[in-house]
Amino acid sequence: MSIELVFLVLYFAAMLGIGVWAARRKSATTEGFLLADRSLGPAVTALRLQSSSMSGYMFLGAGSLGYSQGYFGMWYALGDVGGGVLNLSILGRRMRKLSAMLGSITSIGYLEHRYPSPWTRAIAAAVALFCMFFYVLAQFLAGGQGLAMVTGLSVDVSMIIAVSVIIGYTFLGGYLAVAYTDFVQAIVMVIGMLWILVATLQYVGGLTAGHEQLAAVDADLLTMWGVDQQYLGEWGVIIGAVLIFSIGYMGWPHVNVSHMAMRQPSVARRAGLYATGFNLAFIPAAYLIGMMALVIVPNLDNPELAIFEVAATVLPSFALGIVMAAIMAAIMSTADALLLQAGTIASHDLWGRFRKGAVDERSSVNVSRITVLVLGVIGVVLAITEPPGVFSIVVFATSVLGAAFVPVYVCAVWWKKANTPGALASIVVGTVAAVTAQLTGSSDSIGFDPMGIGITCSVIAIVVVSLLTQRSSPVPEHVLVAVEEAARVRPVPARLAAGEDPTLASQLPDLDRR
Amino acid sequence: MFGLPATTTAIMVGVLGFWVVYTLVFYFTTGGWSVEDVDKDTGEVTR
Repeated sequence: MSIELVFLVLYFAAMLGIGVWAARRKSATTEGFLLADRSLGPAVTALRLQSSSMSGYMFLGAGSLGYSQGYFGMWYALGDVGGGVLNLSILGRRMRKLSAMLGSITSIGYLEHRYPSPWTRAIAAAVALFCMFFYVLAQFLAGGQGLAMVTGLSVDVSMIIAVSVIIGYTFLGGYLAVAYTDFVQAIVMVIGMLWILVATLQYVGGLTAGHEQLAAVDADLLTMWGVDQQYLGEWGVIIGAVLIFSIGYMGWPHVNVSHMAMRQPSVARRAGLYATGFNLAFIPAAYLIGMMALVIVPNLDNPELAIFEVAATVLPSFALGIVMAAIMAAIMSTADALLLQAGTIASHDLWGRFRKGAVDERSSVNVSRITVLVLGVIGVVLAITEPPGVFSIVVFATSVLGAAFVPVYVCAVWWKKANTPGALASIVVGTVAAVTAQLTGSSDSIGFDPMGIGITCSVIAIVVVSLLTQRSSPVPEHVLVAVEEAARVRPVPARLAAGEDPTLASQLPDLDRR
Repeated sequence: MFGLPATTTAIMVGVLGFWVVYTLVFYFTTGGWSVEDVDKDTGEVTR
């Protein structure tokens, strides 16, 4: 067994150990399973939020973009660096308070409680599942390609092995297990990425020397405007690149659930510090290594393997093993968080919510597992028969999620006039606009990023429709009171705590189901 | 700086610097949030 495989096996064993430990600790309640009993501190909140949202993309998509477009790719990084603190500062504290007052335990269920209607949950769940499938697909592709690099097996076989491990791991435990494994993964990811970066810069003779060699390949790579300066003056595309991973995060249900799991609302403060620190160390490095790959390993057939190929060239074999294991585990960790959320949406937000009659724990868990399996099988078949690029999938899923959900999550806590018809219109219009813009190639045809188009449409929809329907569909009084209370900086009065106010108690899920 | 064109350097330093300042301003202007930290077990406000 090669040293890379030894480290990979050791790493998986360590993650499994954390999973078993967390599974033993987890509460018997649904809130415990899905939100870790709202017990997470700032470090776990911040690093879980960051690692679960970017790992597969960062090791393949970001490197590929740096390799193909040079410093233009940094527009994505520049937005991404602020994504965590922006999300935590705008949504974190208020969403934590409001979700607790409304008795919400899933990020989709939270939307139904804030915008009361079964349609809110049904439409939001369908859109979220659709996008998460593509995001999971990107992780499968990343996992397969990474494992193929380590083992020398074919990408198809490696992907089947990687997906099998991911699915098996996802069955292990609930949110607590995922949160703590993600926390450890995040630390290892940043160490691994910085290790590759330092070795890369040593290999090319330093940052300045690396830039000079890059300029010799193509001086445009050092500008922010891409090869042949093709994006010079294309501000619609550039602003979209900055926004996609900065405000786009606020529309990701599987990321926003982090706010709901915080121990206290003020956890968002320190979590913001940690998130920015992590992002500064981790994100630009991925794009920079991708660029330096042009100097170190030119003429790559698959640019998405740029970071893997650079690591294999500049690192000694023992270090390569550690870094590869970390990369693989990080990819898999993201996938298990996504699959857990997808399974939760299917079992809790759809099956548990809409099935008539009592839903027992076994059937709920079965629905969750069947969802994970179906997503896994379809994902593998699609990845093997017609594999798209990791970067393009992630950008597609992010654009649609951002356009569909950013306005409804932001308005939920910041605009008390936002009502159910406005939210429904915003989700539908944002999704349709973003998908249409993607399919018609709006970036090339009219110079505007799909998420920018989608989010503009969804913002207009929620504002216009909410204002037009204030009389026919007023925001319920108990929701108004909760939103106003979430805005105030004071402990939540006991009468507003979920379950104690009779107008809110009806929204509580049946915790006895688990 | 570091062999980069001035525009690239300015954009990189400017935007990254903005996020650092944003983060610090967020952290130091929200110290009052601790008044709503209630210990789940005791119901007491924790400082």
